[in-house]
Amino acid sequence: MGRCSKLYKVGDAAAVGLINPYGLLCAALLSFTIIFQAAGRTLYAGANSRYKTISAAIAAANTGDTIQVRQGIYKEGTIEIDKSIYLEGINFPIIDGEAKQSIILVQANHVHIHGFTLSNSGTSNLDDRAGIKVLKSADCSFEKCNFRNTCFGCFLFNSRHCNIINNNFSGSAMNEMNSGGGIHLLHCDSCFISGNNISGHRDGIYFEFVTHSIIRNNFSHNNIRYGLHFMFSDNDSYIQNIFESNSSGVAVMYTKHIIMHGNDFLNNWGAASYGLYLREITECSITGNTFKKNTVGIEMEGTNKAAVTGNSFKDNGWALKIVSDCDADTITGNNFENNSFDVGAYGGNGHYYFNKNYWDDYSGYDLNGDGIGDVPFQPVSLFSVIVQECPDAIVLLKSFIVQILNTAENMIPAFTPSMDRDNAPLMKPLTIKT
Amino acid sequence: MNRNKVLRFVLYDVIRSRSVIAYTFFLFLITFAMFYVSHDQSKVVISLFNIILLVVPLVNIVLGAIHYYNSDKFIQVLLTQPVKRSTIFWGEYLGFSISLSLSFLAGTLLPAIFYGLSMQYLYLMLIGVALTFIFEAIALYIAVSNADKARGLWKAILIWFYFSVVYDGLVMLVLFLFSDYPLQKTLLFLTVLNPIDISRTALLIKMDISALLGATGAVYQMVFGSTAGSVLAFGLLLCWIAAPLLRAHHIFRRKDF
Repeated sequence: MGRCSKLYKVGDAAAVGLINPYGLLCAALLSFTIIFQAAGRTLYAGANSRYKTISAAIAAANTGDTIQVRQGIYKEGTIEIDKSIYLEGINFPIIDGEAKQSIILVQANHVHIHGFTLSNSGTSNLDDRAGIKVLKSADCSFEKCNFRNTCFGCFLFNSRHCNIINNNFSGSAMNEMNSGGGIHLLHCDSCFISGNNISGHRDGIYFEFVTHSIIRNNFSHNNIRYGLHFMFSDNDSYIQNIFESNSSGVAVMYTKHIIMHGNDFLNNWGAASYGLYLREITECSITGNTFKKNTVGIEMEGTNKAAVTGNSFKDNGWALKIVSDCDADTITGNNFENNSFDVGAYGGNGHYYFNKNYWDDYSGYDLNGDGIGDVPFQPVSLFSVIVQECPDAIVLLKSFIVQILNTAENMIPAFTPSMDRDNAPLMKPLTIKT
Repeated sequence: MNRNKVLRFVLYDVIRSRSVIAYTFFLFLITFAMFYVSHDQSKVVISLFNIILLVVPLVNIVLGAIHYYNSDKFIQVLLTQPVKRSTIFWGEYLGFSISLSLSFLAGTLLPAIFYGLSMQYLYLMLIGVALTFIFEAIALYIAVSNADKARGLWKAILIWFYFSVVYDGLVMLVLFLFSDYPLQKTLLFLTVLNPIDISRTALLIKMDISALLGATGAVYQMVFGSTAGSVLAFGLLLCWIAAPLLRAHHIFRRKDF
């Protein structure tokens, strides 16, 4: 699982519950599904077994049965599961979609799939082809599967209480048109996504109208659009994930009550990239994250009541870009180190508060030694304002005149036109807990 | 007596001078310190790039002007010999420029060889050498066109100040005043009129930081980004060597010593 070494534990779900009130419900249901292990028969599928194909075994199974699939390659069209069964692979049997169809279609509650390699769904303009496609189901779990070269990896529609845990998704998406999300959820509720390694898809994880769900300890990297993409999905949280080298890190749009904690946003670098993009968001908390080497660390647009606390912004182009219509956002106790611009504030009319952050550009003094600088820090530099007014001026970046301006600002704070200020800047960087 | 002989005289003379040794030592110290503090090559390049764009033009234009004024007697002695004026001119210019280029390379390249070289770093070296030749040419032009040494030195410093600071300030002002108009092409043109700006943008485009330049950066990327673009940038820098030098040559040949 590479960098996702923090494996999923039942206790984790409870811990999440402590952080997120909405997670509590989720955690309780999760524990329930794990404890619930119905006793049933065990059927075997494989070349030397009673059932030659997986479909035949499923047809013969009753609710609560376990089907163990022996090692081998299975090509039998779309495998449809319409009853509550456990489907277990022994030594990762390969189910091949031959680039013609979705590989497994689940339309039943309490379906558990474990230990398969699902490959080659192919792409289609008519239907959404997936490794595992789940329609209108509840209490399912999908664990330790490898998805290779699938258009959508796990596609859940209208489902509840599903777990997607410790899977490996490696797609081969070339462009946004002919590709799908690694984990793609539409109209779902109370799902738990943990320990997955996702690459080569359009979006690593995609949420649309998904509520009360938790995304944890995933590693989403090298996807052609976002590492994680939220649309209209309220009351979710994503915790301790790593988003690295995606076209853009994470986009959260048109949602409210999102908890973003302890994630790493790394290396989302390019002319139109950002670590985290917020648009039309209300009441979210962004805590303990690391933003490193992104063109823009966080870009905020229409973001209200966001609490940005205890994050580390390092080596970014802009650590924070506040675009327009942001209201009542608080930016406190963060570290800003070695960013080309600390804050870019565009559009005006914003109301946001900086307090007790550490800024490496701060050159004030601290006479009473309480660790808080005695002069306010103005995070929006003069050059940053000039660039806002005329973007072409950015070519003067790193020129001597810009350095003179910065020095002049340090000596004469009145030089800075922006009114944004941190009245209690810290003298030393904070220890960031993730 | 041919040009190479004059060149060699000047080279040996200059390379042993205390100010040039100090310059080498300064560059060496700065580069070494930067590599010592950060092992990340691209970070070293970006910090060094700021210093080189500032220090190299200043040192070269001032040291150059002082040298050419001080060589007055030497040139007059040479002129009494059967030596062509252009031989003396090229010998003086190349001798001084090559010795300062060598001292620049010695100062910046040695620590880099110790810590490992990258293409970016070599590109920076190349730009540094080009700037050396450009500001030597300007210094020579000042020296031959102003008889008074104090006046000449003052002009040298003013010209450095103009190219390093004032020019970019004016560009910023123009951008600010005419921000309602599309200015990308104008900006490109304005860049070409300042050798330090050409160097800066040509280097910026090669670095990660170019992602911050946005739409304007894309225009620059189109012009300076490719191999052909690098050739274009060096072609422009070559023009910046040729223009003051040819003018100086013209004056030098007719000058009454």
